[in-house]
Amino acid sequence: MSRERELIRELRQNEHILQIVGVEELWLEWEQLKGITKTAVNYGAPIMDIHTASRLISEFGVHSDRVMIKQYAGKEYVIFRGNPRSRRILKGTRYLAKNPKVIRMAIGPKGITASAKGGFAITALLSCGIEIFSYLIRDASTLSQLLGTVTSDLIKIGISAITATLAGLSVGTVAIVSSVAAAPLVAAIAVGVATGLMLDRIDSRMGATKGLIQAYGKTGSTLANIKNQAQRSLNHLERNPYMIPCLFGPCYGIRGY
Amino acid sequence: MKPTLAQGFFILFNVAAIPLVALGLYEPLQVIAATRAGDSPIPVDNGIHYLILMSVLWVLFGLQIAGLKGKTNIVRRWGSKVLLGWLLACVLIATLTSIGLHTHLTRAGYQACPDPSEQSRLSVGNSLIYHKQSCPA
Repeated sequence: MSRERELIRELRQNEHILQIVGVEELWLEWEQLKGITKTAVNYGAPIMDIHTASRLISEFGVHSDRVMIKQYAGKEYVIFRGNPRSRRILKGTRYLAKNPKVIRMAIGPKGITASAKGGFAITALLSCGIEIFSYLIRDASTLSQLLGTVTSDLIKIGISAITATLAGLSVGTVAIVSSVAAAPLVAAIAVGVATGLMLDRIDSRMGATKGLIQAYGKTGSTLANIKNQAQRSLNHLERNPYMIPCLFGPCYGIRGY
Repeated sequence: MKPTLAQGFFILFNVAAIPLVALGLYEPLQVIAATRAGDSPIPVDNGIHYLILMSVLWVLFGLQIAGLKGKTNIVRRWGSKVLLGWLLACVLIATLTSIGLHTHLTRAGYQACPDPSEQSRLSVGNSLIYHKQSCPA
């Protein structure tokens, strides 16, 4: 009896369940997963910014008037007010704007630009990766669909990143407000999210992505036509080799040299 | 960036925030009105409420005005707290509005279906179409 139980336990331990899924079912599963993944990617850049903002708050506390940007001898410096001992990362009182620590904390113009660049790169990479994977696993997907979607995504991500950077830089430069350490990042988050939403709405209403897909499709068919025409001309020349000199100079009865 | 140019952009973003925040607040009201009227289908973008995040720029503008009027102590003491509190409140309001609208529509007998006009989306939320009956094939 015990041997029987042991055998059953061993069999259960080595049990593997194999599920055979059809391509269409796999596609449907991926369609659902794609939505969730893309949503996660969409939240990625704002979450990263919020994380940086929280680091800034933990570094400086919630009091304002802590950061100033000044130029000395043609170089831009970030000056921190308050007790340096209360800070964990930026323990000095004055840093060059290019300092890696300052950039990592998204402080100053360079820091804000670097933060926006990072957000753009990550969102673009993940979003394009998802679209490419989607194209690879589905037979019915066309290259024009992939190119149209990727182009539209990159344009939208680019515009959002530029607007967010502009907002961050302007808030980081204006009087009074620029002294609040987290203000440029908060402004960049708000403007970036709003720009993305509006661009998506415009795209949905005007069908920009659909238009791009159609345009790529037309370009593809035009290229195919040109290829066919060239092939026809080559075949014609093969059949009528006496016409080859007509390619290089005027020929009797041939127009369009 | 030059301070004058920065101030110009700052004002521009503040002005742009007016219609955007209004849109973020108007959409849920429109959806509720459509539900009461029994309309079908009802298009809902559950990310559009996050447009109210743009109102943080008004807080910043308010802080700037307070600072320029000599109330620097108040700005120094309360600036960051007000800004972060407002940001968190906006995120919370937008999320709760999104959840609340979905619950409201589901209780009214609507079913969320994907929006076929949306080819690709990069911003937060989803574009959905709520139908009274089942989703069209």
